[in-house]
Amino acid sequence: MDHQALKDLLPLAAIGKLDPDEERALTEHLRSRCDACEGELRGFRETAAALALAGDDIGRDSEARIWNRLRARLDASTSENESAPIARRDRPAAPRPHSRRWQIATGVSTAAALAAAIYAGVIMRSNALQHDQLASLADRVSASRAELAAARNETAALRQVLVERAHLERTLMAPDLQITRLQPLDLAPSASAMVAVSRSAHSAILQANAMPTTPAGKTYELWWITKETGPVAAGLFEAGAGREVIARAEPPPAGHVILAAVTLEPAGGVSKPTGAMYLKGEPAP
Amino acid sequence: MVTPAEPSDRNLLAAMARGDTGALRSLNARYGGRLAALANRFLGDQADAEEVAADVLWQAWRQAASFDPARGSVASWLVTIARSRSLDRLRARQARRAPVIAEADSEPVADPAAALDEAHRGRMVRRAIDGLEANQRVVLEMAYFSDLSHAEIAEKLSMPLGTVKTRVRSAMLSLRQALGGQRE
Repeated sequence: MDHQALKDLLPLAAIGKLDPDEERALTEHLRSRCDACEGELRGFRETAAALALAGDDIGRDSEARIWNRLRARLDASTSENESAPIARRDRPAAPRPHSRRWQIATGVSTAAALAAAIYAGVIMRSNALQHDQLASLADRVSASRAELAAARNETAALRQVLVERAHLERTLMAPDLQITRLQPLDLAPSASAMVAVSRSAHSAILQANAMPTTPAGKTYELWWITKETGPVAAGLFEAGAGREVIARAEPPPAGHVILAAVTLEPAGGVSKPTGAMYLKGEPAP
Repeated sequence: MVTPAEPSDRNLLAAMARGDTGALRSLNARYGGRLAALANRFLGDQADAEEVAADVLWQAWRQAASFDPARGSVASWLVTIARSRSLDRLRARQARRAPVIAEADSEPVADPAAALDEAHRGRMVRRAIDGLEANQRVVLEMAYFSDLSHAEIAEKLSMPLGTVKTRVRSAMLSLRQALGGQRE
């Protein structure tokens, strides 16, 4: 492969998209200390990083959650470090074969000394093994703590889902239950949703499936649209790709509801719809 | 970019190498959300994406002392780790869902106030990406934000493999030209 052909590979290398043969050729070339290509590759990597980081931030909540995970790992790491010196303190000192007392012992019995030396060697190896095992255990404890912290977060999220599901069931059992099915529009062609409403229980709950992941800095917002008042905000929810969403909502306001709809709005919601519509449906008469 | 009052990325890493957890927190404030956003484009799952971001920053914490600025910026290093870990996780769970590129593209540019110093650069990058020809942009984003090989992209877009590679290459060249010399 000539130099120009290798140079042509650099943009693809920066995004990790070389075929194995191309990768081998370029690696070999870079090993031959081609500063020009090395510099260009570095430049393309910076371009790729800029491309990667150009997306919207998930937000301050995300940053806080990431920090919580890191803090759990730091805590686990700290306790691991605190326990390590104890393990080392417990390790017996190695015998000193040339001490005066040892020389006296050799006068008594060379065989006994040899046996003692072998025993000491076994003990040292055994202690080294124990130390390795302790270090390995400490690593596993550290990893388990991090997993436990993550599992706690997940449990809290699942508990919330269960609470919402119970609320959904109560609403669905209400004698005056009304279901409004929302149909997908172009932006969410495979999504589906329904809103269950019980006016007597003054409750409403939305269940949605296959909504696109909520983009950073955005939220989905449910609306009741009445003839008298136009759109009335009914609740916010977020979606992760492929996940079922169950979210509480406000029941429809008084008046003749002609439409329910879901739009994508700035995080925190808005009082009147401004974003694109993802779902809409007419309440049953 | 970083204002004069703030430590540079490299200074943060140097402080992390000395065991300064405050520096790790600052690095998280600077990159955590955006690394999670990047991982989210691969994984389509915010919790997984945040776990990846935490993994990346944890690796940076543990390897801060061995960071070599001659190989590139801190941002480039973090992004490389984040992308690699996202792809590992994606492969591990054998996800078959498509990347969320179209959805992200359909959104307007974020509120500039939300991203402070980085917003300016973010807008410039977005403008640069928007400035690409549509066929270049699509191919580049598919190449970068998915686990698809060039051959798979060629198949999906019904175009010759050589065209895919040429478009990715020319898109990277155009972007580099548009952004040249701005990063740390």
